[in-house]
Amino acid sequence: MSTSMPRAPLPQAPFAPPPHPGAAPAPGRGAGKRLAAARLSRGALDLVIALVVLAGAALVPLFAPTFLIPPLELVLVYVIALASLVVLVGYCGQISLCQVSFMGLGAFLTAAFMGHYGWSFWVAAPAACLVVFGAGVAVGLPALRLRGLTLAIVTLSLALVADNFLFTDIGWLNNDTYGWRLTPPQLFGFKLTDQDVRFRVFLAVTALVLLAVTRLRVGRTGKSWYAMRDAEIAAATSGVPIVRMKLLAFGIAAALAALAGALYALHNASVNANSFMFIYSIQLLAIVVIAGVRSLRGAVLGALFYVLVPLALNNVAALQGLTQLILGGGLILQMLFAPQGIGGLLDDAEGRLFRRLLGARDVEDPHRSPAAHPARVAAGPAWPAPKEDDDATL
Amino acid sequence: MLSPGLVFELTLVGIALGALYSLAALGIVLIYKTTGVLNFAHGAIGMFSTFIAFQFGVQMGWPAPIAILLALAFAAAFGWFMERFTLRPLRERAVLTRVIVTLGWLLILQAVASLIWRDTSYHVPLQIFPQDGVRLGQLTLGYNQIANIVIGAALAVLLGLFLKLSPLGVAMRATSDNPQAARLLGIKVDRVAAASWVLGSLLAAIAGLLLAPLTTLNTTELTIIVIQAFGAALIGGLTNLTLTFVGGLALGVAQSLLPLLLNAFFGVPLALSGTKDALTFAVILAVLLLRREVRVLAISAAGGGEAL
Repeated sequence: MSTSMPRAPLPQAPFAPPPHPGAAPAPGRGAGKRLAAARLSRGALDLVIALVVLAGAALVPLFAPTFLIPPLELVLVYVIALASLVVLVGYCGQISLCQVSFMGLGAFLTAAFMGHYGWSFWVAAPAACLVVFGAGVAVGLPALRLRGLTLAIVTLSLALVADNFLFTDIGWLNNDTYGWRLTPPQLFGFKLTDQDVRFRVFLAVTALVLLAVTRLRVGRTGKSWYAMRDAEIAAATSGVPIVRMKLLAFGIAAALAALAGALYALHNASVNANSFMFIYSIQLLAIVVIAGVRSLRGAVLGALFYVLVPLALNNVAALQGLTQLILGGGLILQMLFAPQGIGGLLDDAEGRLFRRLLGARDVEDPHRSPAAHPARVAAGPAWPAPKEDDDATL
Repeated sequence: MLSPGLVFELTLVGIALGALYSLAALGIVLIYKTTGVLNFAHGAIGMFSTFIAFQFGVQMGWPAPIAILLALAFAAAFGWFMERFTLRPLRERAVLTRVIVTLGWLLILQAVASLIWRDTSYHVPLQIFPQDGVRLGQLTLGYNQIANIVIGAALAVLLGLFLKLSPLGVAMRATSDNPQAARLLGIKVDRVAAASWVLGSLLAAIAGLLLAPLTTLNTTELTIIVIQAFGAALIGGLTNLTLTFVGGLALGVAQSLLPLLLNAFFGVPLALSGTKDALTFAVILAVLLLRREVRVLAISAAGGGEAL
């Protein structure tokens, strides 16, 4: 069950319906080919856009004012954190209200490994991610039997345990309540105290994460996730290993959050419990739902908003709580008036533009979630799902 | 040291706390039963109402009864507004969509409260009942704690009678049993939904007002009471009001005794603050995994896009 989108009745969603009498004749091969071409060139377009953005971002330290570098670095951290929610909520239809707690666990574990055992950051951070991956799988275990509402309760309750117990009462983790200070590590002789270097390292890590998540999405795993999200029982009967896929999603999401946490620790050069309160988990969910939880673009947009709006507001001391107010209001307004989110609206606009460019109105991409287009679902898919999808969904 | 006297006293303290969890939980169950929405903003409504009482009663020095009335009026109006304008339009939509709306309200209420009253813990809440009380061995059971127990029990009984006897209460039960049939019988389901949101929010406000003197009054502490209330509500299967009330009491007592027991048997320092959250988490998880009907309920609620 998705968290945010209006859902079509289940049986319609991901499957090609049986051809029924009186239906429009299925389009011939031409449409299929054009569809493939459209998807390919659209993928290429996305890739080009991504590369341009990446190259532009790498050049940022050259021309951006110095004071903007740390916030932009934080944007990268939150891109990873929000990507974890995109995987969990958008791709798998699970919900988590403790993602910032996983972030905090990653940060604290990284710092504790470095502080207690003298490990380098480059060893401590992956180790922390690995441990948190395990923690995520553990949280996923009850999720095998629960979904939706109850999962929200369990994860929120877990976030409070992290707030008030893990990060405050466990001396090993929080350095006897003093928190940690981190000395920035070196990489190939470059000191990460240099903020330009650090920014580029963060950028590289973020790009790798986005690439990896995209690979997962377009591959077999992603298709299994989509099938599971849209019709779990049908997916299970079609041979999607639900248990493995769900646990994998929770593990990956937790590990990504932990990675974001480790980078966050590096960014702040310190770790303390105040940064990881439960309310931030709700804020993150809100921001990613508003920005579009179905695609990584939502994660990028959301991170930009989440970091830069408070930055703009913080000059006015009276407005510090305003970001959260905007998020809460935006969440409600969006649920009422634009269920697909800003990302969904952009997707629609891009799709329309692209179809016009291609001059082929009838070519639509079934990879786009049907839920983002209620009208389209109501009308039913116009053609059988393309061959390559069959092995995953059927 | 685990003396029977101390255990008894802490049990009483726990009941005084648990009675308030029960009140909050009753509100959650009432709303869930009639509208199918799990209100994550429940604690936040209680928090905001308590701050309103604080604003008028303490900051501006108005008489306490007026401050309390204003707080309750806010809660009732807010509950009505929330249902009428943000949840009723979404009635046909998935349950999670509506839950996310309540999360949005949580964010808003907390943000506005911290904009107005700042994120400090130095607020002195409105004292409704005197702090001093009866001495019981080593502990003093405050009059406010005694009042909590009495008010909690009285309100629970009143709510039970209201649902049993009053026409609106009967309409609420009919709606929660079978919304379609209730509608066909001429019950105005919209009005029932609004009424249960108003009642539920009032319960949240009362719980918040009574709880604030026992804990600290800040924008977080009362907001997260919603999790304790969920714990109690889940013990009652999200439907059974009696079990919910008992569950809240049990949760309060367990939380009150746990630090002592941990200290006596495992030498855990008494100062640990997070044990009660860990306990609630364990209770919630246990109930969800072990009580089949709760799980089924939750799954059907999450999966179905039906009207209520």
